[in-house]
Amino acid sequence: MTCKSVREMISPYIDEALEPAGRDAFISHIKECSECRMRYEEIRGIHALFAGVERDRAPAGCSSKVMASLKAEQEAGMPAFASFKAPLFLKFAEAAFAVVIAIIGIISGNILMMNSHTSERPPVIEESLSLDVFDPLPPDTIGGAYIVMTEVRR
Amino acid sequence: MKKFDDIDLLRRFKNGDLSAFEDLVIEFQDKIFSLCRYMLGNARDAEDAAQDVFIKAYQKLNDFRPNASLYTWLYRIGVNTCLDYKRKSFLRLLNHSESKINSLPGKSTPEDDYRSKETSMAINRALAGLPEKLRITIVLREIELLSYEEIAEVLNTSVGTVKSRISRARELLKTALKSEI
Repeated sequence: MTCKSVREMISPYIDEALEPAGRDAFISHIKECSECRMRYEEIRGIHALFAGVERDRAPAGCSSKVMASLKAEQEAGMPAFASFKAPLFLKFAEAAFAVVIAIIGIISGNILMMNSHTSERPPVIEESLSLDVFDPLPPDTIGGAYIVMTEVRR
Repeated sequence: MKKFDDIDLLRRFKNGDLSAFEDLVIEFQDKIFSLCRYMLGNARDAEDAAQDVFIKAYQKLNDFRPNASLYTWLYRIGVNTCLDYKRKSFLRLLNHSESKINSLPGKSTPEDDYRSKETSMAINRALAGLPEKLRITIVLREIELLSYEEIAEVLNTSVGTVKSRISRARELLKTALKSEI
């Protein structure tokens, strides 16, 4: 491995972000190369400085202040609570209600359609043209000829 | 220590349980405050920024996709919020960090911690001198202790870029902190 590529591995090695093969190659190189070893020690020293830095803690009451801010925005009608949606079961109830209404509507529509269809009888040519309700006419008359015609069609 | 359960929190929040969000704030307030303090350089601005971070998180929590980590998602909001603060107020870490470190709430300075305090101040000065992208990256690594993959997720960049920025940041810090090493 070249020194240039090893120096690029210094930080990942310190941060335990190297693959095992890379880690072994890095260790082997810095054992042999004093220049790279010195560079590694310097960067490791920087990393070690941060270990001694005291981590900040949030001021006391931070969470209470956050919740109070959210509540204040709600009371002022601000959008902070706009994203607060109804509980899940209410949403399901709403959807179920809409589905029930739709089904009722479909069923009602079908019932109406059926009723309108039963009141209409398909046209029966023979019946509509039939003159059976009337007294039979002699065949040599127009009416008689008409009766012959309808009989043929049947 | 009980592992924070992202899935359970989201389930409770979506069912209308506001205490779930308060649990999230309590769990992450130290980390978010620390991030804001290092990015903005003083505790007062950090406190305001941290509150803004949680308010934004509240507004966006219903849109959060569980395939990501809640932890890194929150950090991303934190980084973006602090960058917005800096753009608006043109604050510089260098001018504010030294005097404000002494006024951080809850910090006592016993005699035997003098060296540690000096080191912290030197680190803050050195961090302030870094380009912004390098500073954010090294703070997330060294202070917030995020992994390379987590940092890449927070900053919406590649692991390779994170590695490169951390290496460059440490080289620059090495020069700035020669007397401390």
